Amino acid sequence: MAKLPTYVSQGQISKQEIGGRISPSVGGVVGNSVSSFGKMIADWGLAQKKAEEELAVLNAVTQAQDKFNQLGVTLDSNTIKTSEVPAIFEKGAQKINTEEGANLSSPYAKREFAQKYSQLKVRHGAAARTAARKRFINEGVYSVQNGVANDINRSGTIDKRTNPDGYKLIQEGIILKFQKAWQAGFYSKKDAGKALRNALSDTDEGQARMMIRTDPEKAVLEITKKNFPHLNNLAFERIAKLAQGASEAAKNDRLRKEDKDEAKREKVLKRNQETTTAKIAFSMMDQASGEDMSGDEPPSNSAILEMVSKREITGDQAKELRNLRENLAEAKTDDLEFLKLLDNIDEIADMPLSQQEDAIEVAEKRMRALMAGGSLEINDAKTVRSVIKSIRDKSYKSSPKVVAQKWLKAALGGTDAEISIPGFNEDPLDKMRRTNALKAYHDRVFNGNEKPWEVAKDIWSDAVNITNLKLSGFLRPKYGPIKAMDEYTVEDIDQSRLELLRKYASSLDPNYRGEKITKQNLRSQMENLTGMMSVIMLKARQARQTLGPQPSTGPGANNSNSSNNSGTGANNVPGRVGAAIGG
Amino acid sequence: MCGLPAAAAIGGMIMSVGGALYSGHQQKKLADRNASIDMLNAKRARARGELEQDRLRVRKVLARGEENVARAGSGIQASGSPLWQFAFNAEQRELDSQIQEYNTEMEALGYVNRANTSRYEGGVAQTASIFKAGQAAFSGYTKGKELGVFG
Repeated sequence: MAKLPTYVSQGQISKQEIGGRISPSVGGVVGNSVSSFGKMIADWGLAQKKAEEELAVLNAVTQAQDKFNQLGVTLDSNTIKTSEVPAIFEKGAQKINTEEGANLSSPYAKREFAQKYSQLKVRHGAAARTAARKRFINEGVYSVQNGVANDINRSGTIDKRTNPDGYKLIQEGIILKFQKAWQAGFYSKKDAGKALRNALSDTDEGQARMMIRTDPEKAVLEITKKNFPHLNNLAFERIAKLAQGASEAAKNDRLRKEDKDEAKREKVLKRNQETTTAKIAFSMMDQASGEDMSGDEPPSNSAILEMVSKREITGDQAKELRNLRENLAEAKTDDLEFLKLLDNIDEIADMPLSQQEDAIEVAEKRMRALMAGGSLEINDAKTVRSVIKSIRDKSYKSSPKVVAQKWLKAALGGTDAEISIPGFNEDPLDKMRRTNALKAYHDRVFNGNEKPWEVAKDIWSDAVNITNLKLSGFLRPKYGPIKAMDEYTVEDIDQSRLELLRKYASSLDPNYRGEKITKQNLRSQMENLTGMMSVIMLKARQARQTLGPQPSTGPGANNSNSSNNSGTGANNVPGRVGAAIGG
Repeated sequence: MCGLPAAAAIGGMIMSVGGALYSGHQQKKLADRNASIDMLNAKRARARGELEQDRLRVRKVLARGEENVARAGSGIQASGSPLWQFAFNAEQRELDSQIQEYNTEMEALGYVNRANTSRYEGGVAQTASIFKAGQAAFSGYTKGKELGVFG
């Protein structure tokens, strides 16, 4: 039997699962990214905001700091009582907190500010209290020191030798002040003790100084005896040294003053003796010259001796007066000395007024010495006194007597000491002739009351006739012609003068490189030339007179009224001679 | 007060919160999708099991026919050992059927379980995203409040 095939399904059912699963985390990627981005933005925003808030806090804290500083300064004032400082500070701190915290909105900023504010408040509060305390102590210390300083000053006005209780009271007051200051806490016990010792030392020092000022020599003794028990070692050494120095200075001052007084007394005495001597001498001179001295006679020799014993005059002055009395009648004038004295007196007229009186005193003394030595006759002495009187009443310089005398002296070759020609040695005979001529002038004018210019011209005419001056005695003019000195003429002298002045003017130029001519050199050369000119003129005069009277060239010849001697003497001087003198 | 930083903080916070929520939402959505796929797989496994059962049933019928044919052709009585043989064969065939059923059911259950897991994961992700968003919102709010972002 056939067997029918049976087909059984052979197909395999797929076991493949349906795919397409996606991990859920993939779905969160976008959201997470967005979330992260958002978080980042938020964090940035918050960070910025935080920075803003921190800045605001910083500003607020800075302002608060500033205000706390101002508050501290305000509190550190003498107008605020130290006891009120804490309350005022608390009030000010609250105000600062309110003002500066008001601008802060966020809790973060408020909290941060509150923290910083607390720190500031604590710190500044402590500083303010410390400052207040310090001020309190300083004020207290100042008050104590001020009071003590006043006490010390006051103690310096009290002399404990005369008012010991007052002095003691002040010292007790100082002790009490320091006790109270210590109890109030202004000083530690140690500092109070030290300050007290110093203050007491100061009172003793003030006391010692006062004593040194008033009586330094006694103060030394008091200090040495340690009568100032509170003086500390340093002060003691200082005061002892000061007292020693002051004592020595006082002693020296006393001695110096005594010396000075003595010197002053001596000076006055000497001047009085001098005055007295001069007065007696003049009195003797007046008596000798026949004046009426009734009631005012000069003292006798015995009276003079008595004056010596009373120190009204010195022994030497008494001797001088005695010699004067003895020699007045027999005196014979020494012409040279007499003229020298007159020359000296003549110079006095040119001195400053402040020096004239002293110079006159010297001249009078010299006059008395000459008289006492028998070298000055009474008439000449009167001449000297007359001249001195004219100097005193300021009429000397303009007096015709003096002007004529000066002209005569110059015309005879005499020069003032200050314009003497260096190197020119005058012939002694010429000098003697001039001296005699001047002596004759004085006799006739001052004693004989003749007219000065007439006398001067007479004497000059006589003197010229015997003058024998030589040009070779002068220095050779530097810029004069090269020829023998005795052959020099008036024109040569003029030429030399002109050249000398030209050279001097050239040498003043800053660019001038030649030989320098100093003012002194110029002056001496000009004087030399003037002297030469005088001699040449004299010789010319002499030559003319030798030939016979020449009315047109003699002294006073150009003056129709030659007897007019009323003070216009300069007009009577021959023109060329006057020029020589003036040069 | 409402400057750029504040605006950035607020905007950023909103973005962060929104992003977190969106992330959870998307994760849940994907998990649900995965669960749907797995449920389809489970259904398909069960359908495949039924097909296999059908085929086994045919094979059982065929096998029993062949046995009957063989018994008839051989004259073997359905008693004694042959009966026992028939019973054994039938039992074996039934066992295959049950094993196959068991396997497909187990496969379907696997998919169902995975679908459930996916749904659970989606729910968890969404819940977590809500908390994350809440965290971002809370953090942003507290910080912003602290700094005065909200006025």
